[in-house]
Amino acid sequence: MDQRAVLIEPLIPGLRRYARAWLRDESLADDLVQDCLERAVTSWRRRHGDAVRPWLYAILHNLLVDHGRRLARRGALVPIDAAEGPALSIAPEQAAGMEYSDLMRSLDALPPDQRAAILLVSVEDLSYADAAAVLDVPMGTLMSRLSRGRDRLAGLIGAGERPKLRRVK
Amino acid sequence: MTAPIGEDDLMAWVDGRLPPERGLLIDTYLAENPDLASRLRLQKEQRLALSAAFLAVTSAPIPSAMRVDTIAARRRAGPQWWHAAAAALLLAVGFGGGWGLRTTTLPPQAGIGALAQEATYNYRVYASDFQRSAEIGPDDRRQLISWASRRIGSRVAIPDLASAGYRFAGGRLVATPHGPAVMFLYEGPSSTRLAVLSRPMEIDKAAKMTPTMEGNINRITWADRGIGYSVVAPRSPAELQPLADTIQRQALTA
Repeated sequence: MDQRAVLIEPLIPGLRRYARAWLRDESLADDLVQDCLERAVTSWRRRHGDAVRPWLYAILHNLLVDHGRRLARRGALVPIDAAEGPALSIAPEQAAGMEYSDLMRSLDALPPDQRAAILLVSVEDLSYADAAAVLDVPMGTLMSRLSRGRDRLAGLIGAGERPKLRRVK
Repeated sequence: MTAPIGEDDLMAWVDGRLPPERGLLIDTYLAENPDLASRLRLQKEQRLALSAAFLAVTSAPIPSAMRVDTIAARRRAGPQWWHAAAAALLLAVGFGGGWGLRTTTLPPQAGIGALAQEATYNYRVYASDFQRSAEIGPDDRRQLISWASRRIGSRVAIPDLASAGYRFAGGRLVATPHGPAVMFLYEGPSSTRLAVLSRPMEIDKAAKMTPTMEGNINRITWADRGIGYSVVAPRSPAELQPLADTIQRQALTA
């Protein structure tokens, strides 16, 4: 295995997870990850010693944002299925008592900037500095997106589904 | 002197990343602000629920296409299929354009007229070589849909023409002067080959069905909701019309 493989491959499960959290459609998400990896392999030398993890997430993040823009600009052949697809195939109870589909719907309803901040920190467990680097924003901006996003997410999940969310301790 | 409590402290508390020296300070602050404390506890709960929700994806084996070795080997392998496809289209455009000039009429440059022309070029290139015409075969519909959707930037659906006797034989992406288009290929009665070309439209975002012909090839072309469709086959317009109707109905109701 060359050095690229050693550094890139362990990060692939996380990249796939990030793409799926954005797109919900499994094979579409994997296509974008594939694109990201091909770009990474092609431009490996142009990385200039940047840390591999934030660098890869940044490539993928930009692909996801571009994809979203293209969809918005062009309109759809058929309306995009708003219902949650089979993409993640996880039983709802795994989401710690919170209604899984509700969680996903709420996530989708967040502005992309806030969703990205939450996913990179909460799910991908990137440091605040790395997450800010991926999104190419100052740390303070990341923090306020994170904070506003989390408040908003709580409001969205709360709406209509309160009893399921509030677990009795 | 202690730094005042900030948003970053509160987020670090939610994430369990608070440096030890801030811990006591924040805990005391939260004890004095029960509303904020309960809001943050809820956020912490949601953070855990989110990472739990995506756990299954994390443990899934990665596709072999994602291996760095595979990617590096493919890059070494040289020209990719789309180079060939683009070359084929350029040849077709060159030939078609030249042929058109013979009668001093240029093919339409935009709108559904251009789409019909693109569909015809591609039909001539690909439908005549049916064994190799489909980049992705009928058994890999899912792959075709996701690939084409991504390249075109719109969700595509494969029209089902089985009830009219046309069997889906696969599809591919093709290059057009207006960006990538998806072409679906079908085989009908007495081995008739039929193609449906579809791409986003810059002009003619909605246009009614228009039959045209070129040589022995008939086309019915239209656009709905910013997406253009052209059905092409060496069949009479009367035979193509019900197929076009079916495709339009499926696209609008899907």
